[in-house]
Amino acid sequence: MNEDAILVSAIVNGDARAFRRLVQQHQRLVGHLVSRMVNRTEDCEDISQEVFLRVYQRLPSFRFQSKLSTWIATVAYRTALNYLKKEEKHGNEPLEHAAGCWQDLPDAGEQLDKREIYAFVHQQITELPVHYRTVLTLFHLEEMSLAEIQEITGMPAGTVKNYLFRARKLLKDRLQARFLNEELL
Amino acid sequence: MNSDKDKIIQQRLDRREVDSATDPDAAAYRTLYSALGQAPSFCFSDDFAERVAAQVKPAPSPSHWSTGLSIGCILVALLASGLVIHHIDAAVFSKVTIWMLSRKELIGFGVGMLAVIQLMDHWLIHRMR
Repeated sequence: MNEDAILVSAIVNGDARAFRRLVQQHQRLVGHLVSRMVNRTEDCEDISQEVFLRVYQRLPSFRFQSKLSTWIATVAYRTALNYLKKEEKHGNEPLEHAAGCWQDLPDAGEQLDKREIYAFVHQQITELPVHYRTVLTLFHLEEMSLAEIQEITGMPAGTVKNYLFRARKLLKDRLQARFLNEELL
Repeated sequence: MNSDKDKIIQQRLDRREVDSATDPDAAAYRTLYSALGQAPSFCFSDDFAERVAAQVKPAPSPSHWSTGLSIGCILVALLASGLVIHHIDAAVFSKVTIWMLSRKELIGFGVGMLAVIQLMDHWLIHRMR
């Protein structure tokens, strides 16, 4: 029995500490995906909490048809998507991410340009369509394969590849429009 | 075409192949890939996992009171059955017994259906949890 199977079994049998361990192991993945999809920092923690509660409710029926992390990412993806649909129904516009995170880092001479570039890229990501943001996050941040992304999102493989290509091309073009070539070397 | 060039550069970077340092498009993509690998600003509060785990309560084990009540109900039911059997007219009782014995299949089917309903009930409750 692998580690995930042992963990799931313990949780299903009522071990609260095992569930806390599962949350700790996967909160980074859930947080990244939810925060990128939702674009509202203040709601991310609540939505992520809802994700883990749903995971807990559905864990008894999880049969390891996929990796545990892939399944949890699927729950996170669907929960975030439902939240976005509800917000759209109520006519709420998603807020843009605060670009402040990069300003928290201490100034360090030559690193300033890179931080400025990264902050610009992250700002641009928030303006992409949600499916572009999703595939970028899963591929680059969580280093998931195309097959895993396909499984999580339910999109055909061709669509995932297409979204990845288009999102990256869009960002690259904006990067080149904003910064000089010498600054991007 | 430009998009073909973009596609080739992206594919090479996806395979982690080192691209020409002087090509502006390749350099832009390299910088972009580096930025895409940086985590976004959002991070959880320190006690996030504890708070989530605290919201999940395991199913309560039956208390002594509820166990006692269940046993009490069973005893009352047995007592009541005993009293009924004791006071029932023997002729009626034997007619009922003969009727039941002549319809064993029906009785068996009824008991089987009750068992199936019990199992389904148990499975559904387990699933809902």
